Amino acid sequence: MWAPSEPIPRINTASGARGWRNRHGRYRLVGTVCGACEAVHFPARRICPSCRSADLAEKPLSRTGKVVCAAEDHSPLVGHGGRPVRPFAIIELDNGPSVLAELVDVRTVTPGQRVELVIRKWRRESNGLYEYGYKFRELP
Amino acid sequence: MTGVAVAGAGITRHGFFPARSWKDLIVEASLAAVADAGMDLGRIDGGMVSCTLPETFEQQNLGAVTADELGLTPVPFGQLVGACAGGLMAVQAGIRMIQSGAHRCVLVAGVEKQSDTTTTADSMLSYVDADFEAAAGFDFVDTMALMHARYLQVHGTSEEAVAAFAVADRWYARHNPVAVDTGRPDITTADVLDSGWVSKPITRAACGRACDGSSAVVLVAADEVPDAPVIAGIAQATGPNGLAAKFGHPGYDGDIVRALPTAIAADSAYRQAGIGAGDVDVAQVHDCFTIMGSLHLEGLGIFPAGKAALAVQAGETALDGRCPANTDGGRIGLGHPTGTTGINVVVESVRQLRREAGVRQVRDPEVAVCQAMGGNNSTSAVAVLRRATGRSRHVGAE
Repeated sequence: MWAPSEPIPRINTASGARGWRNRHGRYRLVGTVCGACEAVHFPARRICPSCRSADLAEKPLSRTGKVVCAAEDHSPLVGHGGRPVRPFAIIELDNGPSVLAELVDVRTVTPGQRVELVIRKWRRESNGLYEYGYKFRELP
Repeated sequence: MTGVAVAGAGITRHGFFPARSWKDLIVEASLAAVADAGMDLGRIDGGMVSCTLPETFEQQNLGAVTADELGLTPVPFGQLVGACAGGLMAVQAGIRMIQSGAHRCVLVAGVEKQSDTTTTADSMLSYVDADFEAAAGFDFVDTMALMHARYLQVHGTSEEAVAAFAVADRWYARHNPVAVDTGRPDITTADVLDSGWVSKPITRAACGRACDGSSAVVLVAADEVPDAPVIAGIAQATGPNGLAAKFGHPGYDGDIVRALPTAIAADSAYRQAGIGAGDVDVAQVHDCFTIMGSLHLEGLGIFPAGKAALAVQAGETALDGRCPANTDGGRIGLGHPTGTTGINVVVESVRQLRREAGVRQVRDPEVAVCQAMGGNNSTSAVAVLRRATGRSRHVGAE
């Protein structure tokens, strides 16, 4: 039986299934594209919010984009405390939708900065599994 | 006009009360509301309960439990959840119960026991997008830090102007005997800006105060209580819950720098009430962080887009300003027991319209607007209250 050796969030799922179901979005930014109006969405949707079509196909989105606006988390949640300050931003992907993500390997973040996807640890779930997902770093 | 009036309103002291349970709080507020209405508890023939975080005290089914605690069973009682807007949505549901003709006297109560949880940020996490935003470590102070940063970026507003909301809240809270900050000294924008980063650009003193607290209102058909403030209009609107999903969303105007559900709900509530934003004499808005107070004042149309923070800084929401706002101290000064908040704004509107707010009293208000938001601008409710047109038992207080 696994016992916590580090603080874990009090409220999250005890089952590993939810994290497994979301793996394509977390690792590869799989969203959806609308067959009717060509709108691109992230996270993946079931109904297009632009035209209400249900004709949606899964599509991995661009792994690069640019920072729209940024902030700095000085009070990370339980389970995310590995860094004293976590820069994070809204990132507009090159082919459309925006994502909210942490930035790594950077000191300052400015709007307009080009970034690329990397896979990093998100948090340890209450079931003991580590959940990994997208973060972004500065493009050289 | 909804044809429904607020016959009575009650509120508990807000703060951290380890010795008091949610049942103690909701019973106190409910009895105060019924007493304020000058009624017997037995007249209540229906009820709604709002609570955002019942898992903090590990009890659900709050409608039935509250009815039983009040000795009202078998009267029908329900529970409504709408993130931090749930209280005002419960008031809307209570109005519909009376309009349906099935009920004559409805109690709507909100309650929260945030001191029972280990961290408020963790317990609120289930209201953020669970799959991709909360899981990646972002709570509401983070998502709203981005709205704050975006506001500064788009409008070129100063940090001092945004911080002024907390300064204004403190003055009102200081004079509100039930507020978390009651009796505490005034603060300056420098105090707000120097209080330490929580999520830059949001500082500690710019945050709403998680706390315990309860409030309640008694709703009846307006013709039964001609001297009570009436709810002239009420509406609710939704938007996407994920923060990043707002960019490019057709229902969201493509940005996070507007409180769009608030604007849509306000438009509907104003039309029902036959008023415009310029007719509002006093406003209560959802200032869970300083930036959100300004965004919602803009959503209500009281100040133009990009101008609310400057207006607050210039004193326009102070007691002698153009539109006094958050006269109970707001989420930052009164406190933010999340499920209670949407009812707190109605309680303060009623106090103001009855001219019972003491040193916080706005001069001769006829129209009060109140608003509550849930999630990342993903739900917002707006209500317009009007002073009673009949001969008022409260006029003597003038």
